[in-house]
Amino acid sequence: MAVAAKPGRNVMKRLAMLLSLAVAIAVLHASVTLAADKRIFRLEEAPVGEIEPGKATDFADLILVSNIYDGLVAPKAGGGVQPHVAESWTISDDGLTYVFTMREGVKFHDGSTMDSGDVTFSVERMMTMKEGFFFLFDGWIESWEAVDSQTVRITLAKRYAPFLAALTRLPLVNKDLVMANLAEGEYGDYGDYGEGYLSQADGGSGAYTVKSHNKQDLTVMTRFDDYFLGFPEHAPDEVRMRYGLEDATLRAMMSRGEHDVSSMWHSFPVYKALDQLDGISAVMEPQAGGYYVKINTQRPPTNDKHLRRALALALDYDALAALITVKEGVAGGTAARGPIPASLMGHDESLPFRGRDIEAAKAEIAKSNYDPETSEPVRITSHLCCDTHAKVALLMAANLAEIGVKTELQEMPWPLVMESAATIETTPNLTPMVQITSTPDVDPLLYELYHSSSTGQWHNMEWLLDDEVDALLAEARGEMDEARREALYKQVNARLVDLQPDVFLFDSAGVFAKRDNITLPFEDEAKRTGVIWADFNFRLTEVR
Amino acid sequence: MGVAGFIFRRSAAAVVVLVGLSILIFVVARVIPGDPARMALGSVATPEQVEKLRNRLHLDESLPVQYWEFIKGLARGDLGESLVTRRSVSLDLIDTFPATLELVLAAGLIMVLVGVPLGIIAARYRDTAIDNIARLFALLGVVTPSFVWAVFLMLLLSFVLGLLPVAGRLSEAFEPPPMVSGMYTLDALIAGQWRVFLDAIQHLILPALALALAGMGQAARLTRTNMAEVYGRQYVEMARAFAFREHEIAFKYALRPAMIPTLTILGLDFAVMLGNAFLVEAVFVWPGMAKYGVFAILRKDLNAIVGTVLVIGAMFLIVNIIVDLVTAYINPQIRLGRRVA
Repeated sequence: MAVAAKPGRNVMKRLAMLLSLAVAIAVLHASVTLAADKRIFRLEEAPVGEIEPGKATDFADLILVSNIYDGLVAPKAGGGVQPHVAESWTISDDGLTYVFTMREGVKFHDGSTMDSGDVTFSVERMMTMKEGFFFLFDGWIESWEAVDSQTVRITLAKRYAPFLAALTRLPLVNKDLVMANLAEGEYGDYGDYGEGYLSQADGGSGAYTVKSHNKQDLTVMTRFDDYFLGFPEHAPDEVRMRYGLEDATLRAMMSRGEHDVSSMWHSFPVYKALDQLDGISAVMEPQAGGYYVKINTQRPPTNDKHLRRALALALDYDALAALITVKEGVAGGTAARGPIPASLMGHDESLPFRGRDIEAAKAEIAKSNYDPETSEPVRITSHLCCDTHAKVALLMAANLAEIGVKTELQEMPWPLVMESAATIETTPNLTPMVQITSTPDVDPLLYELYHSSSTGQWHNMEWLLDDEVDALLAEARGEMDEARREALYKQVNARLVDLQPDVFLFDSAGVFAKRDNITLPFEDEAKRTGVIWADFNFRLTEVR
Repeated sequence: MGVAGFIFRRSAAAVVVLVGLSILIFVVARVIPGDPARMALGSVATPEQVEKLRNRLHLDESLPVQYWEFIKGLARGDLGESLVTRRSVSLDLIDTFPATLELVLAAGLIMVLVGVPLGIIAARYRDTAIDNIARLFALLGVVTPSFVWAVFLMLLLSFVLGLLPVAGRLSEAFEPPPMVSGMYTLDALIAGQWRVFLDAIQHLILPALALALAGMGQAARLTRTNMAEVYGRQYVEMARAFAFREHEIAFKYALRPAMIPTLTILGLDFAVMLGNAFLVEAVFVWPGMAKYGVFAILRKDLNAIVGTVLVIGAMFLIVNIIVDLVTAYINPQIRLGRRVA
């Protein structure tokens, strides 16, 4: 039985097809009118982005918080600190009392004016919540008070020379806003101390204010026109921080102009590839930190100083440098002279750059108790975050084989690296790691790396446990005279070079890919601080 | 048993499955190496800070006590606090689930609208060049992982040809539409924001296509195989003898019985995509639940792991119930929960 075709139905079908085609064409060519008059700056960091000022500790968090909040002081180009919300301060002769005089007319994003009550509230909040960078103040700050509306007095329990640098990690929050947004929490009358609110919204006075925030995806910030320092001509109007772009995605987005600056967490071949594209360049940010190979100084066989020296002498530094070099003048580090990088107090210019000397390495092996037949193999662990660490570990294993040292390679996810650092027995013999100072001062870097009170944590896998280093570091902390303090750190430096608790591979540097219409603050030496969050000062970024 | 009875019986069974799943994933999440409190607080946290968080999260309690605390929270609709985002897991899932659902629905639509017709054409022209081309296309879809498709499609259609946006759910020029479902396409339609709708569709095409290709190939192969078998049956021969048009035979008599196994597999594929979308979400910077879940595992975000798995598990069960209902509708011989003599 044949069924006659229905003409009406065919017409409808054709109409439907035409409509579908029209929709498809419209979808593919829907013009998107971008706000061309708006300067947008898009950067990337590793997830997640934390904007709660009391909790921020990772790179993404610090970049966000330092642009949303202000501190009494700020990192200064070339090192140290400079006045910020505090226009001046005095320090008592005994080094215990700091009196800060605040600028007039600093506005919070809600339009209210900042006063000394906001500063003391911020100190109190940090000291009560005991999170984030609380450890920089723990045991040091004894009391705090608002002397008048523009003056704050902070009294220390002991002399603490790095205190001003530590204050760069104390963001000032809007007290009234926080108190109006308290939720149920563990801090008595203060509820959650505004933690829930400040995790999603901003209570700051910084140059940029939060428009929207998704911790694992995207944070959008707009410029705060009442900012007390004003804005340079080419400062961005809007900043979009994305979290965790894949290599292919980054490449496609940057080449299409949909993204401006990469994070520093991609592999070096990715930066090389991006640098080859039109309109994109790789740039380098020298940082106040080092690329170290941490040596467990307590676990055999690396508990032998001569073996540690032999390891350092056997490494092929030129090959290592090639691994982290993108192009001339742009690399993940520069040659190191010792544990203290060139930008920090205590760096010793008179020390030679490290270099390879196989004969000297063999001589050190001869002085050591290491016996390739009976000694334990040297366990080298690299963590899985970055393929550079794995390559460095492989190269080290090959170099050490040349001087007859047996090695055992292992890769670990970051959680296991942190857990392995808990005891001497579980800490690997060698672990390549980048470590950067927490403030614009050398004190946190050296304390974390070498002081006996920091053992059991990932940043102190050296287990140095050296009384002399401990005593020198403690003394330097309490020394208010800059010259004497520097001399103490030079002594620490010399002692560390002798003990060789690390292989001092490089003074660390971050490598970023950026579009050429963007100029980052650290590209200009006059603006560079060496502190990553300050070097990503959005206000000083130029979008052309 | 009627439809209501069937749904009630299957829902009760689903609750039992979800309780079992919650216990299993609760234990498994805690077996993953690493201290969640240490990981949550970051590298500079002191041992005291870590200990304080462990206490707050009951991590120093025994597993049964921890589970009991979790169940008490769950009874209030609270999946606990995410260690990574530091906010309620329920809120995180409300934010991320619609994005993944939108992506998976779009991928499902592509699977059905392209995969099934491809199978029908292949069956109709079986053992010809058309069939072979369709087979090649289907096999390519099945054997190539979705993240490879994702990168390939992105490079081809965005990087080289510049036809579609690379990443995200909307262009920078647009604000998300007022939230109703959390799915931008749907919400834009509801709000009558046509330009936002078109922009959202543009952003949806590549990730949905990358996610759909494997399932699409599978649907095409299944449809083709099952239809080819039906074409061999006597009633199809009889329809031909009565000079029924080929397309009528295909859609009316061959496709319907052939669709039942295809539908079952499509249903499973749909649910599996909810969990497997993470690589596609990562490549296209799609802020969905699958990416959230994987990130939770990597950071040992205990409550987020359990919450994500429970949502995926619930969706899996719901989709299965729907597939059973649709199957019964397509083939009246299948009766819900009743044996056919």
